[in-house]
Amino acid sequence: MVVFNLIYVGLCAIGLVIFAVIFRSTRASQRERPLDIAGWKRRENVWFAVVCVALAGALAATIVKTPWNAAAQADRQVIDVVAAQYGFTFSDATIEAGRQVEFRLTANDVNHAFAIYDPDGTFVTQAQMMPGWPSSLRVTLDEPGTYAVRCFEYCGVGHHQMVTTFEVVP
Amino acid sequence: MIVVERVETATEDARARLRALVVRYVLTSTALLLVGGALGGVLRQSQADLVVVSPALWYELMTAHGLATFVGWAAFCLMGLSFWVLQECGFEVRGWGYRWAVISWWTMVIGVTGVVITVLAQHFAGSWVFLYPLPFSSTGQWTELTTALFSLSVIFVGLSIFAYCFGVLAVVTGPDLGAAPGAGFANRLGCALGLGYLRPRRFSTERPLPFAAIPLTVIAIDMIIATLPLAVLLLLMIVQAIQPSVTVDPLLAKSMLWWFGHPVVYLLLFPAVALYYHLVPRLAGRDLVAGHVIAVAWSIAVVANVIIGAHHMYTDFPENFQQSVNTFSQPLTYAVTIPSAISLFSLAFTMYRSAYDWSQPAARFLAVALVSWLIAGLQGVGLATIQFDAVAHNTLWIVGHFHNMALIHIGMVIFGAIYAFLPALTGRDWYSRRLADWHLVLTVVGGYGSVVPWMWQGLEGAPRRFAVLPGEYLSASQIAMPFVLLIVVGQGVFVWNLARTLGLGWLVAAVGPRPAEDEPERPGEALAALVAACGTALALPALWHSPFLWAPLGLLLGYVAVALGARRQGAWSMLSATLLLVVGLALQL
Ligand SMILES: [Cu+2]
Ligand SMILES: [Cu+2]
Repeated sequence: MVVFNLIYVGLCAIGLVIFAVIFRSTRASQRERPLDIAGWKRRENVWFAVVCVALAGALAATIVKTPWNAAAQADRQVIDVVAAQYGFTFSDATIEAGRQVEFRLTANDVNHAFAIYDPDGTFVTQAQMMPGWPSSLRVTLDEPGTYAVRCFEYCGVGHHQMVTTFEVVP
Repeated sequence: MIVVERVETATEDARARLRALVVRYVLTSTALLLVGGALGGVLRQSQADLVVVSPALWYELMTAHGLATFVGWAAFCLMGLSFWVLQECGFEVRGWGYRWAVISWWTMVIGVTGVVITVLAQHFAGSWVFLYPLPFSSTGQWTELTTALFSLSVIFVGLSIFAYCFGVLAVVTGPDLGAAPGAGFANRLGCALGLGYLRPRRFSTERPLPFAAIPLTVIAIDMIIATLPLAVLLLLMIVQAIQPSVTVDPLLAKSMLWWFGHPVVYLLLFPAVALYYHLVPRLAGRDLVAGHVIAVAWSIAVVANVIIGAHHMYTDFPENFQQSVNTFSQPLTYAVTIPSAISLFSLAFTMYRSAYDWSQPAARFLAVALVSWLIAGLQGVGLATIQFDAVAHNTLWIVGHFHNMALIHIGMVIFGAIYAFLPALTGRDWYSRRLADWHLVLTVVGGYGSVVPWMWQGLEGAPRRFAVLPGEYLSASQIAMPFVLLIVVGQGVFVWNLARTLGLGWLVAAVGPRPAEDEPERPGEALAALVAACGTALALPALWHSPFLWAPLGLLLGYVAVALGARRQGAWSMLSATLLLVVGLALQL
């Protein structure tokens, strides 16, 4: 996340500088030198290539880091979570720290989503819960303590009340 | 000689009608901006714990805010402005092009009225994406009948989008394209997509295609493809409201929604790009600096735009087949950023060392908009990245991102275009350029001041669409409030400037009686006066019950009367409906 934010702020800063240069170049003194508009048009092809390469690089760097692809471990704990307007029901609300847990997510009525926050309140992960389409979310929670769960898909006028907690014990 | 004159008068008449229609688009959508924006302000201050509204009302207002601002303001205004851009770059908007534009206006107004009634009078609070099956599981907040009426209203909005697409396609593939004699529709469509820049022989036109036509053609094609499945879903929802045994699979419904939900964002962006392509060169006194690669970029866009809706479902089925869909969605979504990157290059070099006319309000708005495009566009690339979306999805970061994109990028383009076009549309110069500057500064400072706290809260994990946010996010919500106030003041300045520019004389001319020498009174006007009377009668119950049901109906009928010819009576009817709404609301409080 920090890396994303730094890259973003960096690119914005470069962009602002470029725009400042362009905006300042509209002063009369800048127009005296001859213009090479045909050359600029040709350079658009170079820019096209630069953009494609940059996007391909970003893709290569990030696509392998897609979360949620944790392989199921043999000794994982399985917890059933059922969402319904407006609450979650856990088959077991105590989880062992450091051991993979598989949340089996189902929704009874409408779409909900399952978002986990660690004991410091930092966002950990999320997944959608769709009626008729059960899914599972595998994650390993190392830090013991009380984890918060919030519904992350708008599900009606009680949506903001759809919060709960579970315990991770050492 | 006489024949030529007649043709010229006919063309002049057609242009005058188009000007009046575009002004109508601008004024209606601006009114919806004020309504929708005010609702947004109420939502935000409630989250900041100032005057807290009940969660049920909060979610209703949220639903209305989304539809009113996104569709009713931005999309609606851009649809009207699109036709004016086409007109100015040599495509006469007449015949079916004009008729579709009129139909689009009416269906949008009917749809938005229906949305207002179902949300504010019948308490529909399914959010503006109404994610199925939520509309049928309201926990007592609204009825199935309401869902049916809401769906019907959104179908009207969909019809409006179709009409817009047909209108744009009719114009860009019409005689002013200058395609080869006898060229078929497919060939003319290819010409309008800019393929002539790549294969000049195959897609030849008498004059080089104006670049502004390309994004409009792209979005017209894409929105037809994107809206069809949503219309089917909405029809099925109406059927289910009547016959509950008919249901839709939630996964199919969600896919249909996002199949539409992604391209509809570009119903804002692409017409905005057309405005840039048209206005920046004019302000810079130079043709758009665009190589042929721009046609390549738009060819990528026309295809990629309609197949990447799945990127709104990155967090579905983490361990399942959705992950393979996701893996394809990320590169395809990256691809659709290419036209933006190329356009930024072209527009930047169009300005570079040009005599860009900074004295025009439009010039300043568009320059700020370009910077915002970069800032918000880079956020979009981040969001297209699954690794980042996994953390940002459905947090307030998203809300920050799309307000950055829709309000302080596209909104700035819309305002810039209104500043640029209104003199040509109405024959009146702007009342004040200083006020336009204030509008710009207040909106941009207020805009970023209100967007940045959202993004901050989102990075801290604050969920979106929570009527009451968890306590730890309160201070950031409160920091945003002074900036929200700046946006409100900014729009007040804009409306004041607009009202002074048009003036009372313009209003009287617009709604007053027809000049007698022009046309004799038509029998239809008696009927229209009757419609106006019905409008007032319909609005009367607003004093006792459901003001948001009866007053909008009165307003709509009042306007129908204006359009049918009873302009003065219709205007009185609209005025009385508005007053009855205010009094009715006051009595209920
Ligand atoms: Cu929820
Ligand atoms: Cu999208």
